[in-house]
Amino acid sequence: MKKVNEWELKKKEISYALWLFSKNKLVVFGSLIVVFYTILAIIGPLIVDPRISEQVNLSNALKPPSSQHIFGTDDLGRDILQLIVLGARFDMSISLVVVLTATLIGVAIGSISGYIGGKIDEIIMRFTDILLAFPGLIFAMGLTMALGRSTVNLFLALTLVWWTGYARIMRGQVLSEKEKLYVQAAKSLGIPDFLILFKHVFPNAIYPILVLATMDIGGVMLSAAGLSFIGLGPSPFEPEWGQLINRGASYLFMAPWIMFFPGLAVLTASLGFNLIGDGLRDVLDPRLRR
Amino acid sequence: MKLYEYAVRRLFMLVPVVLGVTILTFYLSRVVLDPLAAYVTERTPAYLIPAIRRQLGLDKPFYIQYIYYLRDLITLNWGWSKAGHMSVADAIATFFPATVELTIVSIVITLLIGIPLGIISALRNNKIEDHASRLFSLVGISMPVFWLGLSLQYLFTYWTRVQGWFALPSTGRYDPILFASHPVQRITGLLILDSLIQGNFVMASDAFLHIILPAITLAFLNIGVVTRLTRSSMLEVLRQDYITFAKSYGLPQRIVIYKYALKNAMIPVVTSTGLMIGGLLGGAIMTESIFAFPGMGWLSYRAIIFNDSNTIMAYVVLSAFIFVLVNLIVDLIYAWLDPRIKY
Repeated sequence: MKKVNEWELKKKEISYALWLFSKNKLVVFGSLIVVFYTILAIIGPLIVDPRISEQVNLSNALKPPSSQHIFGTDDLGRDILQLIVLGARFDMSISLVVVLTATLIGVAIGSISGYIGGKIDEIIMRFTDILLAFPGLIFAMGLTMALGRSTVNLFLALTLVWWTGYARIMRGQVLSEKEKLYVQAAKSLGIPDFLILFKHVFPNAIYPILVLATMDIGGVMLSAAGLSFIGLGPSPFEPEWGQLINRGASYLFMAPWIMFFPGLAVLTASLGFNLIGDGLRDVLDPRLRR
Repeated sequence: MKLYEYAVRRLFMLVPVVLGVTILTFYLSRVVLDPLAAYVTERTPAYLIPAIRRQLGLDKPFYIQYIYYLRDLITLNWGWSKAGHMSVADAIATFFPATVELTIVSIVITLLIGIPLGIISALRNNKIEDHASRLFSLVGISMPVFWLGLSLQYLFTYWTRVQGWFALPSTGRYDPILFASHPVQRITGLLILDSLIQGNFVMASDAFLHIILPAITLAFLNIGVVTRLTRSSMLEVLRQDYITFAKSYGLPQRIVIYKYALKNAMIPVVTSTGLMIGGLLGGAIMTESIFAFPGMGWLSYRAIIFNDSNTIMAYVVLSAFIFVLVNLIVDLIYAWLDPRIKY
């Protein structure tokens, strides 16, 4: 009987959250953007021939936006709009995969570290201190340079840089929850540690992580595009937004559209995730609902 | 435990971190990157290479090399910088102040805009001001900094000139022609400050015009972070019992907000500002290279192009030390502001 009640409560909670979610216009807007780019990432190579990124047509180069090329053409005569459509797959997938991996690693390590405390906590935190002591972009750059320029190495470098942040925030959350009365009460009732961690501390500490992860997808997208912008992304002929911006930087005053539209794509895609993350924070944190 | 005891303990705790950092950078500079690269070109005769290796101590076992590495690190003997055409220590002494200056200007802009926006958002919760500032800060967080830099450069150095209005300088830290006629003695290395000390207002305003675009570029993304943090922690604090109590006690709204709420709401903002400073002092690689602003980020971008491992590793070690120190300071301020934290 008690179980059914709990389940009913959960269902109510979720549908209430969804209702709050759908009421927030910015969140709906963000979701639409994310759905749009996700569809683009999936069907992009079907509606645009992927081979166009390797075709050079110099007679068509540096054409300003027109009815024929809505976003203009780049210095190799390729249509910017088509390149943006093709680039969606790379930028979307690398951000999602990096954040997912980094979150899983960071949450596991951070919650163990924060809850167990003592020597293990000290060692793990010193280790993340060492990793965090390196400026993220330089560290990722050094790693990508050392490992060699490829998509997999870009993913490895970004994940290695990103997980420590989750570990520290999770640890901080667990530490602050640990001090709270309800955990102390659970402890004094003799409930085993791992149960307290999973049943009581975790659900309360996971909200900021979930919000952060959603917003970090946008952040990772910016970093991936940034690394690609300074020349550490995939190969130059693979369509990717950061690389296109880099191409446009050389023609900034002559053909600003080359860097403008791909940048707009990075901005809006990242904004979509951040809008959702921001709305999630309001919905998931019951203290902010009042 | 007293706060200063905590500080001393934390300083001691830094030792393993710093050693860990040096071990990692040693590994990166000696194993992953080629330590010979700075001293050898294609035209170096092959028979000289063993001698160069011997001179650099590369023929010794790794633990001896590490001790040499530590000794060189402490004595500022960081080798030759291909990217800076001088010794690495000189290059850092030359370029670091520019980054410090850029960091200060950018953080001042960030806080001046971010904190008031956050307070307004919290006080006008869910009203039009709140939604506007929310959208603005989310756009800031989502902004690709290199794209923003390029766009600002296009707008304020090219487009406004085409329109015949004004033009901000697009690259560099000062106008060299102006500098020749209005020389500034180097005192602190912060160009604006040095010019002001010497009463050289021409150079001060020129340096300011040069720094404003990169500073805004860097501030733009941090403003969003500060605004959201101020808002959310302000909202959280305003719901606390002691605020309700202060209100019901009849204290004026102004005092409740600025004296009781803001001070506590600032704790997360202090932390994140500290981390921002730590990150910015490490050098904003993309922003500095777009605006050719001769700071640490610009130097390291050039070092990457030149495959200049000496400069890269010195830069990595230095920014790591800065970050660790800033972290320590942030934690101390945190402990001082929030007595509930156990140390």
